[in-house]
Amino acid sequence: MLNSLTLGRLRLAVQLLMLFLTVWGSQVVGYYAAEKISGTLPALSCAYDKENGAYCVLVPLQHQLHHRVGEGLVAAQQISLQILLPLLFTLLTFLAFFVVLNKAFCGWVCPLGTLQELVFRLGRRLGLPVRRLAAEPAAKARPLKWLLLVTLVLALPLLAGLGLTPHATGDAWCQVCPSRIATTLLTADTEQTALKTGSPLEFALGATANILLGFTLVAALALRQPFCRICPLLAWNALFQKIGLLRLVKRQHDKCGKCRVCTEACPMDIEAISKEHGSKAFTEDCTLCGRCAEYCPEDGVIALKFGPLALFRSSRAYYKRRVQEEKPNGEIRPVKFHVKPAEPNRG
Amino acid sequence: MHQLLTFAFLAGLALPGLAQHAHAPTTNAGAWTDLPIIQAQADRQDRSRAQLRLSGLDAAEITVYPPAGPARTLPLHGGKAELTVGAQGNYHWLLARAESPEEIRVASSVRYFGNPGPAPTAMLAQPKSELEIVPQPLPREHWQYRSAEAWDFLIRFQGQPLADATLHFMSKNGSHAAFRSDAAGRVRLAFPNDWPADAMTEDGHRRPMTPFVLMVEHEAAGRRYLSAFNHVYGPDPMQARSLAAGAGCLALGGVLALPLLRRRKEKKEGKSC
Ligand code: SF4
Ligand code: SF4
Ligand code: SF4
Repeated sequence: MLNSLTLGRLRLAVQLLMLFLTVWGSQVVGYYAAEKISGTLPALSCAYDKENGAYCVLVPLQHQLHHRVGEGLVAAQQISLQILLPLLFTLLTFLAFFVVLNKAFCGWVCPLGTLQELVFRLGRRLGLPVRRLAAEPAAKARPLKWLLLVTLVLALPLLAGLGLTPHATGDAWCQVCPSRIATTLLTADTEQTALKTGSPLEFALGATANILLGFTLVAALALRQPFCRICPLLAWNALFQKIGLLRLVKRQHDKCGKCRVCTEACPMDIEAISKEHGSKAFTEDCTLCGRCAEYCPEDGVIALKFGPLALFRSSRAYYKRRVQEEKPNGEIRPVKFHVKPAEPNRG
Repeated sequence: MHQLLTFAFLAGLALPGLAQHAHAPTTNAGAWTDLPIIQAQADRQDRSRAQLRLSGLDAAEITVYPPAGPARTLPLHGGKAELTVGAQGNYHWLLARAESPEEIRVASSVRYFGNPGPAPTAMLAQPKSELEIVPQPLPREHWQYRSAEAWDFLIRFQGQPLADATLHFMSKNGSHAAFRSDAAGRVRLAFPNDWPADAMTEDGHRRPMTPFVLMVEHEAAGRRYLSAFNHVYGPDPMQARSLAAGAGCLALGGVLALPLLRRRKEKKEGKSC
C-alpha cells in the first residue's frame, strides 16, 4: 500500500480535495463560511462562484485598491490609516500563508492549476502529442505575468477608484480571469460565461476571459499548464517566495545540465532546475509541485524542504518506481495486461 | 486542512478588511405598500451605520438581533432610528411589532454590514416573533435576490414550521404573487422578471435594486397574526448578457489552440540519466 503512495498521487489527492473545496466547498464549510475565508486562500477560487468555500485573494486586493484607496484618496485627498489598514491586512494574511506554504498553492491548491493538469492527463489518454515550451518562448512569456499583475490587478483598480478609468476596470483582473468562467461552469452556472453587453469595454474584457479559457482548455491537452505561464497570481506569489518556509532546494551534481530529466518532468518547462543549483534553481515560475524532485534519479540532489526539514528527497529507487507508472513528460505508461495461459485441460 | 480553516476563520474575525464588500443596495423608498416594512439606508462605504425607517406599523421601537449576542432595542422617533454596529458582525435582523388583544403585527428585515462576524445561522434559527418568515438562506456577501432566481423561505409559527400557509409577494415594480408553504413550512419563491428592458444600465455602475415585501397571516386561539419581511432584489443579470457570444468566444479560444494538438515530428530531447 505505502509502496504505491507516490508524491504525485498524494499531490493529486490534495488537488482534488482542494478543487472540491474551492469550487463546491460551501457544502463542506457551510454556506456562509466563504465570507470568513474570503481573501485568505491565495488561489483562484472565484468569488463569482456561488457554491465555493473561499474567495480568491485578488478580489479584496482589487476591491480595496478601487473602493478604499482610490475613492478614499479622492474623498479625503489623503491616505489615512483607516484606508490603508484593510489593504495591509489582505497583504499580511496572504503573506502569512505564503511564509508557511509558499508557492505550493499553485502546485497543490489552485483549481485552475488542477483543471489544467486534469486536462493534460486527458490528452495523454487520448494519445495526443506532448508540447514543450522551449527556453526562448518561455523566457519571452515570463514578463507577461508581471505586466498583468501591475496593470490589471494593481493599477487599473486604483485608477478606477480615482475616477480616471471606467468603473468596469475596478476589478479588471476578475473581468479577464479564465478561472471565473471555469469554476462557475463547474457549478453549472452559465451567468459568468455569458458576456456583458452593457458596454463595449465590459464586452471586450469578458470576451478576453472566455477566449483565454477556451485556449487554455484545448492547449492543456498537449501543453502543461498553459495559463500558468502568464498568471498574475504566480507573479504575486513569486514576490514572497524567498521568505517562504516550504521551498525547493537543489544541490549541484556532475550530471546536471546534461540529463535534464527534471526539466522534462517540470510542468512549467523550467530550464534552471536542471542547469542551476541553490537559490537560482528555485525560479519565479516554480509552482512547488515537486515533480522535479520525484524524477531526479540521483540521491538527494533535489528536495522539497519545510524550513530545515526535508519533506521529500530525490532518490534513484523512487525514480525507478515512478517512471514505471508515468514518464517524466507526463505520458502515462500503458497498463500491461498479462493473459494467464489457459490451464491444460486435465479432464 | 483544519488548521487552514481555523486560521482563515481567525483571520476573517480579526481582519476587518478581508473582502467584506460594502455593496449596500440602493433602496427606493416610497409609499408603494401599506404593509409593515423596515427600510434601511446607508452610505455605501459605511460599515457601521444605517438609517432605519418603519412604515405601515405603529411601533415604539425596533429590536436588532446581531449574528451573535443579545438583542437590543432602538427607540423610534417619528418612525426613524439610527442603527450603529461595531466592527464585528455582518447580518443584523431588524424587527418591529405592534400588539393588541386581537392582533400582533410584525415588520422584519435584515441588514448586511461588510464586517467580519459569525454566520447568521443561529440568528435565523432563533424564534424572534410568533409568526415568522425566515430566509433559507440569506444571500451571501456577494449575492442578492435577483429576478428569475428562486429562493427558499420558511414560515414558522411559535417556532414550528407552518404548513399550507399563503405567502404574499409584492414589489415596488408592481408585481404581486402568492405562494403556499409545503408540509415543512417551506416556500420556494421565484422572483419575477418585472424590470424595464434598460434596467441593467440604469444608474451607471450601481446595481439597480427594488424593494419587495413578503406577508403571511395566521389565526390561532382567537388572535390574528400578520408578519412581513422586506428586502430588495435586482434584475436578472442575463438581461444584459449574451450566452451565445460567451460560448462563441470560448470556442474561438479553443480553435486558436488547435494547432498545438497537431502531431509533428519532434526532435528527441535530452537523454535519460
Ligand atoms: S499560476 Fe495561476 S493558474 Fe496556475 S496554479 Fe498558480 S494561481 Fe493557479
Ligand atoms: S535529473 Fe537530477 S541529475 Fe539530472 S539534471 Fe536534473 S537534477 Fe541533475
Ligand atoms: S521546478 Fe520542480 S517544483 Fe518547480 S514547477 Fe518545476 S517541477 Fe514543479
